[in-house]
Amino acid sequence: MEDLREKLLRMGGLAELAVDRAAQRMLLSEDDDRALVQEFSQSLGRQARNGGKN
Amino acid sequence: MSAFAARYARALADVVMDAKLNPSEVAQQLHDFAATFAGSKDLREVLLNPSIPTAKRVSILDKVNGRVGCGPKIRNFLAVLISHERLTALNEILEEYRLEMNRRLSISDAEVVTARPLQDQERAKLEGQVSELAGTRVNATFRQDKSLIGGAIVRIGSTIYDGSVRGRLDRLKERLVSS
Repeated sequence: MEDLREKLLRMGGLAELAVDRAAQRMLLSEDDDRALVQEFSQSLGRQARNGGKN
Repeated sequence: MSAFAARYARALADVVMDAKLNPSEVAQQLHDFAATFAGSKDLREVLLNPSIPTAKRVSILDKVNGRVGCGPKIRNFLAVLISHERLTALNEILEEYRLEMNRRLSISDAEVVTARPLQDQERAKLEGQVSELAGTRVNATFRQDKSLIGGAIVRIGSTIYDGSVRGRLDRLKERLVSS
């Protein structure tokens, strides 16, 4: 039981590390970022129409 | 915030509304004077010195204002601050004034943070959506933070809308760690 908990904790830590490393390597082109900002902007508009809810 | 700062701020807001001054122009004049005041140690030493007669200090204000260009009502307000020895709290009073005018004109403050500088068209579109979401006119400030990687974060009052890549990764990390 203890072994399993430790294993899960270690896996969680590794997953965290993997995401951090991915973030460090991530480079977005200007076009991709523009698309992301546009998508976010549209999602804000949708939330506004839904009274602030997602 | 001091109670007196709010009092002066409300008085200035009353003047601006009653005289139907253009709030944007007033904000610019106050900003210009505050920048001049903050940027000159000599000016601060003179205007904040209670041992120099008020009339003398107000005449110096008028000389400075020749360059800054505050309108008569704003110049008079600054003269009152000098005569009441309240110029030392100028920044605090101006921040209270900004909040007071936001309340009176139903304007919300919003902050938009992005990884790269936005183009004017993107800013306008985002500001429009933020305004719709806030249900008021919005006074948006834009800031750059490369650690977001991409996307944007919007803050309206105490509510944060996170559409950044950094935020998505953080949420993914939380899910992986808690699962």
